[in-house]
Amino acid sequence: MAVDLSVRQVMLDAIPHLRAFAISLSGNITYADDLVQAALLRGLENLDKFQPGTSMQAWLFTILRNQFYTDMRRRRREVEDADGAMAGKLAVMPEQGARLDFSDMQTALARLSAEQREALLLVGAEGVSYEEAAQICGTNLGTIKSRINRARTRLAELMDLSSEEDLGSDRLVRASLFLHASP
Amino acid sequence: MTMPKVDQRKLGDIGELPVVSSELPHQPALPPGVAACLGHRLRAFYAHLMNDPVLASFIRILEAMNGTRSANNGR
Repeated sequence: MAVDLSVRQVMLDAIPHLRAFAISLSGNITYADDLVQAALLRGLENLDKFQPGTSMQAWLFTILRNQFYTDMRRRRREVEDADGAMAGKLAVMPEQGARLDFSDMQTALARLSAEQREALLLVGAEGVSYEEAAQICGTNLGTIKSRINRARTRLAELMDLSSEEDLGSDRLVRASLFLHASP
Repeated sequence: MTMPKVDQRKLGDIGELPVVSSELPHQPALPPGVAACLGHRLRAFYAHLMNDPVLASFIRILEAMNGTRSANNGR
């Protein structure tokens, strides 16, 4: 199937986003790579169904997450990296100081429901709008906002960030609080 | 084919995690400092994943398609 060079470039640009989303959603790098490959292949096979002027990346995200949920229904369980050692399987390890934060976040995300996790990742990490996230997830705006709210609250609890007193010596947070403090 | 560059600053430009006012009375919004910290950590986690090198197999999938036909515009 012949594909325009510009379309190929857009899809290539989307790959890091697709992969980060798939890894965060599934918690398993090997499976995430399978999801990304399947999304790219399916996207290429169905390019005639892509609507011009809409987001190719959002379209590929939709294909990927739909495949994830299809697999979940088949397996009747979420695929997770149960030992929380995903960081060690990446090509580039987080810096030593950041490795614990990375592991904490990965472990905490895995404890959210898949629906909450994907909503939070799309809006909070990928930066898509609530409307686009609702479209990708096949739901409405209110549901997406509710999932994100619950996900944030739960994540903060899991990471012991439930109150500002728990922030401890995080320099970046102290700096942020200083900037937001009343004069 | 140009390799994409992932700039961590791009994620930072998105801004803080959007504050979602609770639609349920028993779920108060997170304190601003907590929300900021959470957003920062989430984006740092995600940025690290995005900066993992792109697998050659993905590039081969796209390169296998010959660009001879004009198609719909992408994003």
